Amino acid sequence: MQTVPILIGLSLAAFLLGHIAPGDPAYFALVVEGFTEPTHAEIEAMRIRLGLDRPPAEQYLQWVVRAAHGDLGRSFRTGARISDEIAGRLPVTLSIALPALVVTAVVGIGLGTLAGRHPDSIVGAVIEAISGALIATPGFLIAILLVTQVGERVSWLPVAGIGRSVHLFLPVLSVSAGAVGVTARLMRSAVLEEQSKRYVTYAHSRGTLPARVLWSHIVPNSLPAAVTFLANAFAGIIGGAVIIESIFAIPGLGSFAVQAVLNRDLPAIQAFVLITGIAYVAAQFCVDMTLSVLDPRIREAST
Amino acid sequence: MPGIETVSRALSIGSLALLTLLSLIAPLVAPHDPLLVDMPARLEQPTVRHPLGTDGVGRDALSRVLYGGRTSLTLTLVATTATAVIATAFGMLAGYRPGLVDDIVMVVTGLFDGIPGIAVLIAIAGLLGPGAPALILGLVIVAWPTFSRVVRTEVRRVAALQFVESLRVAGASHARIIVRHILPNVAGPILVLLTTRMATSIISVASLSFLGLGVQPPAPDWGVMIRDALPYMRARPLLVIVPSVCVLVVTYGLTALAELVRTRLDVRRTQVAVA
Repeated sequence: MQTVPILIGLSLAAFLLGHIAPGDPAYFALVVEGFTEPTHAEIEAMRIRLGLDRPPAEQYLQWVVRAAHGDLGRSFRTGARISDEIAGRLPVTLSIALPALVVTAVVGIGLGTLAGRHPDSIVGAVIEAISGALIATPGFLIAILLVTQVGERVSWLPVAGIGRSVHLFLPVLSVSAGAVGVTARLMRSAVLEEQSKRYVTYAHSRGTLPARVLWSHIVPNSLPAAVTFLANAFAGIIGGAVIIESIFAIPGLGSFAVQAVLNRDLPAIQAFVLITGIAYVAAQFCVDMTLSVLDPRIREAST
Repeated sequence: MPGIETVSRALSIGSLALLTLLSLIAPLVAPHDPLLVDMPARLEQPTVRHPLGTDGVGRDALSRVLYGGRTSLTLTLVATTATAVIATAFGMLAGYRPGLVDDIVMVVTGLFDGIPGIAVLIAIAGLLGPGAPALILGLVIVAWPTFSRVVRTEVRRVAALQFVESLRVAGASHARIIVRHILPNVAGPILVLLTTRMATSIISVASLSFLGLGVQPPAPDWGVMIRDALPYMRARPLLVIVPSVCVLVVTYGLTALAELVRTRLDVRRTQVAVA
């Protein structure tokens, strides 16, 4: 398990972010509280209040302990508690990311398996071409295309905002598109390799139903690469649906991050890095769990 | 009779080459100054004077597309080359010298791997302020860990071959072995990785500029242009379509190029990850 060193490194990176950045956090904090021209003494007082006079190691520990208790500090821009802000936005992002994960998994694995089963047919060639196109097309172009071509023609399909479940339709599609391409590719090559193995030939010659060979053997054995990618893609959506969120005017974590950067709101940026990192680590954990379910050898090795 | 795949690959690479050339010589071929604002002539339909029309503040769209290509392509090239140099250096070091050096490099790459790419790009933009330096630094930081890992694996494979041992016995220095013998043997995968990485980078550059966190207006860049033109999408679709098609030409062209290099140099797909 690499989880612990990664978490430590991540929190360190997020913490350092606030320290190598130009500008005095104490000054920003005072400006948020309404001081327009804080005096030297006021800045000093604030530095002590924020603990900025302590040694860096102690500050880091304090920051980690606070973060672990859900206290991510206050925004330089609004003065609001960042944890409240994130608590409001995370569900919004998740409401895009979770359906996108399901869509990507089902469509990507389905198409990839189909292409792997029929590598020389027209079906396989079409799927190969589609996944290639989906991989090479930037997500924001797919989103723009969906908004202008589908959203404006299908009147009941909203193109912006959140609230009802139909609001999710186009964003989820945009987020999934590229990931579907990669998943299909990974799944296709895994299926191609798996079905050429001897046990498959044996199963067929023994008279096992082809559908059974496919679903009980080939597909489960081909899943690991796709599962690993899906988990990373999911973590990527949590922190990286920035573009989709901005196009569809969705108030999720991504637009939070963009606002934070444009306003140089360091505590918010720190929190964003930390959250996306945690999402990544959590995804890794789920991958490990899934893989050990799929492959008894991994299960044996870890116990 | 060339297959359909060969034809489409040649077309993709050909259009990439043409677009790159046109962007390089933009100062010679662009009909106007890409930054020249001309409000009375805003949102003009395509004419002989403005072959692609003008944008929301009357700047010539064709000139902006060409200069925009310069910006996007230069950024991508600089960032990817820097990534390749750094990653190759670390990858070689780690692959050739198992033990402490290797462990350190692996731990560091593991840490960087723990942060999703877009979050790094955003954080760096927040740290340095949005712009080209932040973009390049961010792209290098995002890309080098995976890159150096692949190089490491390849170097390990080559370094374990018997000829390396023979060279040592024959008295060749480590530096000579690395530069003259190992590097040429791992050049294929590095080249494929470089091309694939460039395709990803151009998407990142366009995406961040689109968000306003990359190339800063008024500098022309495809991402910036698409973003600027979105409000006029219905009236002047060309202003969105042309830069979008340019981005696609580059990503498709680079993907095709990577495939070509891969087959020519016989680099197995598994050696270099798909994504």
